[in-house]
Amino acid sequence: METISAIFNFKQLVNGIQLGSIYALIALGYTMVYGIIRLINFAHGDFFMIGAYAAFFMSTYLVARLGNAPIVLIFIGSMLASACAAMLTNRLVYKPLRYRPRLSALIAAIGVSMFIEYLFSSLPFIGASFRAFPEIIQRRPYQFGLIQLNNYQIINLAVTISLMLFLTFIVRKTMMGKAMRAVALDKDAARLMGIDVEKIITFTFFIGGSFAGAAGLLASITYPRIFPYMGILPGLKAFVAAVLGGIGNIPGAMLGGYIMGIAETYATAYRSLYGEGIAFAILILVLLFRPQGILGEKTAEKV
Amino acid sequence: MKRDLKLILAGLAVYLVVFGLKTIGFLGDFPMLVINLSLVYMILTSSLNLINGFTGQFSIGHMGFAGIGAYISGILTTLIWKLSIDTPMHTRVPLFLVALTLGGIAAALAGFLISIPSFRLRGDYLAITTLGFGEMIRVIINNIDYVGGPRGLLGIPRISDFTIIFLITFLTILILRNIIYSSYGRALLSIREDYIASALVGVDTTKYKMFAFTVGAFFAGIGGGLLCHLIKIAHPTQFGFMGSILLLVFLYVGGMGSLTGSILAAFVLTVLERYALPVLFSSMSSFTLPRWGFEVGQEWRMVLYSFLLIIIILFRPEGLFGGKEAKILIPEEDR
Amino acid sequence: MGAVLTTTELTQFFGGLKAVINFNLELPEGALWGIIGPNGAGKTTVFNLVTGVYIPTKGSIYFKGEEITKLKPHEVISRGVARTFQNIRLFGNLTVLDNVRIGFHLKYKARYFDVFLRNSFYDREEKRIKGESIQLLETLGLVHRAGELAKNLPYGEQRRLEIARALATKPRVLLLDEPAAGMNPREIDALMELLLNIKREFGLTLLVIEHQMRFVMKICEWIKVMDFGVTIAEGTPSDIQNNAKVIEAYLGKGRVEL
Repeated sequence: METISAIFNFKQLVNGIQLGSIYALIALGYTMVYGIIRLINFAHGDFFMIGAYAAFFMSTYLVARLGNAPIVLIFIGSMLASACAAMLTNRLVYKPLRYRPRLSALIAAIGVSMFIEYLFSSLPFIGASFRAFPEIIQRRPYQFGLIQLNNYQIINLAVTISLMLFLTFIVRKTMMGKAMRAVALDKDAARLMGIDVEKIITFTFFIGGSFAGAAGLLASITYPRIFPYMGILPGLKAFVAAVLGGIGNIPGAMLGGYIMGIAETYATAYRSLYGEGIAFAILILVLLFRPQGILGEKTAEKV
Repeated sequence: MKRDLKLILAGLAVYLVVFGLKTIGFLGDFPMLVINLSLVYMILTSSLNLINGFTGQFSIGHMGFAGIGAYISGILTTLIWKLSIDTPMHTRVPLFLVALTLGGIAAALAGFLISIPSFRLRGDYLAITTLGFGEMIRVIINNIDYVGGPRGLLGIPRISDFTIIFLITFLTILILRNIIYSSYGRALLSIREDYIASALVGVDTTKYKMFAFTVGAFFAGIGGGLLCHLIKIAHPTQFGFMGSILLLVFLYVGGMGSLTGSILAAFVLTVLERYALPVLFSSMSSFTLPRWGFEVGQEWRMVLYSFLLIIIILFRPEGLFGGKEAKILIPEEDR
Repeated sequence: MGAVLTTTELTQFFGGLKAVINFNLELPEGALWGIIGPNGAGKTTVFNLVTGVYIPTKGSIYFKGEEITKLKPHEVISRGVARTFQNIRLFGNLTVLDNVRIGFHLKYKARYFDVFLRNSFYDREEKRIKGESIQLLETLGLVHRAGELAKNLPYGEQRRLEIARALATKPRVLLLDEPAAGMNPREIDALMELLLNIKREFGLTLLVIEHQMRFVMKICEWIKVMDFGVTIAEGTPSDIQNNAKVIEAYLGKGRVEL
């Protein structure tokens, strides 16, 4: 009896990690953008959705033309699609609002998010209903003793960790990364030091967007139903994850993403209604008791 | 109240004109529906303005309050008291008003609860929380079978008529205006301008934020109740994300901190949407692309609204009337 | 006359930063004292502590014998302590009149329903507030600006408006944070005269943070000098002028004429 519940729990844990990988990737984008321009980019979840649809169209097209779908190509494609969407949004909407009150940018971000979602659901070749994502990677189960995994879970984790390491490398070891950190700390001082702040912001959107796109592809493979509003809930949950880990903090976003994924999986297993509410509950708890998040730092306000 | 004679007379005049036109048949069913809808949206938008525009809070889940008002009043009239348009007026009207008030009170309670996080949260975080709250309302309603769950609460009697709606809208605007041009209103404005300085001038910012949320939610609840008794249905999707964004568009088009703006925006946008859009869309479908059928439906309406929101924020964030008020609304001594 | 405002070992740490260390104050009623010191010495932090913006790491604050250490800002203000700010914090988009009227908010007696319905009680209250506000504006020479937006006022008038707004809360003690900042000598003289007048007229006790020595030396009865959070000296203006530590804090070692 005990071993069965242990296995049951382990299965949930693995599912939680799988889900958490996706949340972590999206959360990274949120946290990076917030860190650099103090904006909660509501549309970020929609970049995730765009990545999924890009993957969908590429897969469908390539399968029809070539008979199979080279996964690396599709990966690059979806990441690029989301990255472009992100940079475009920044250039057209967020940049003009850079020096205006924060609420303006926030509302504009909401507007962009709605616009993308409703546009996609109105376009005839996309439509509002669910689409089945083609199985471009064969689902293969593995067994290690009592532990059951499948290759999707391994891929999710592997991709997420790789991207995270890649990001850490950029932030810690490159000039670009150093510039990003400078802009995040003090935009104006960075500009005075000769850093092209807009270029750094564009780059941040590029990376953040591409991660969201990668998450979109992974999610489509793992949960092969896509629809235009698929970015809303994951986006919200990834945002909570970013806040949980400490908004603006990159390792925090990873940590928060995994905690969120695991918490949600266990909560859903307990009762499905709780699964939806857990994100909101975590958000309230964090904001009331530790608003700076797990890895974040407290900032005082000057009077 | 005697000094507001001009305002009351103006309101009376508008009422009589519209009522007259309705009676002689010049304004048929559909135009009256549009007028009634725009009045309800005036209530909803103004109540949101109190919280966002005048007190400077970031409340973007406002439709959730309307949802509470709609469902509570709907439950009372439809499921419990089983009112209908045939119920004699001396029973129907008072019970309806009671139902509305209770809906408003329930919404006010929710507003009060939501204001509690507002003390610790600022800006973006408050916005997310209020949005999440609105969605939570939608999800909860969706899961309650007694009120129809995802199908919505059907069969609500159409007992909102022009007279009741007009009267309530007028009173709402009057009360909101009275609040704003008073010491209470000034306290709210000071919170918007500089909440630290406000506290350091003796304003209990906590109390006033609560006040704004509670009162704003109350009127939203009333608006929700009026709405569902107008269109005979209350449905969870009306009161979630989509509904709240709609209100935000109305608010921004009209202008933050301007009751006049909220009134006019609600009227203009509702009329435009009900009259202009169908015309626009029917002429557009003649341009159907050969291979894919171009279906214009609900989603395009929201595409346009969200686009409008972005454009307003980018190019005219103060809206039509930002911060300014029509003379007739401003009380004598403040001019 | 007893001390109206007292602080005992008032200390404030912001993480590792020691902003204020053991600040002791016994401000007598009716006094006009000054706090001076280089930038970052912790002077404004003391004001923030007294007015409840921060809760001190250590120490306590007493106002008219009552402990106010942990009170929220509006509670401190309602007991009779008012302040102005280093960087002017007016309600920019509100009129001059409204800025002052908000100060009278504390003693407002009308309740919710009075406001909703605008009955005669409400009217009387509003009239009273408007009357008192106009009077205050007259005293501060701002009544001709009553209908203008605060943000459109010239700098000197904005500073006076902040003082008017603070006075509207009917304080016993007024904390002024660099009221003479950015003023030329003539304006400083006018300000000095104004402060002495309102002190007399409203029976106030004043505590002033200032950098302008002309002002401080001429008008303050007693001066406390802070540097790096510590009170390095205190005394009468002539004591301070000749205090070596003070001179060193401001100007480094070497002779100087004040």
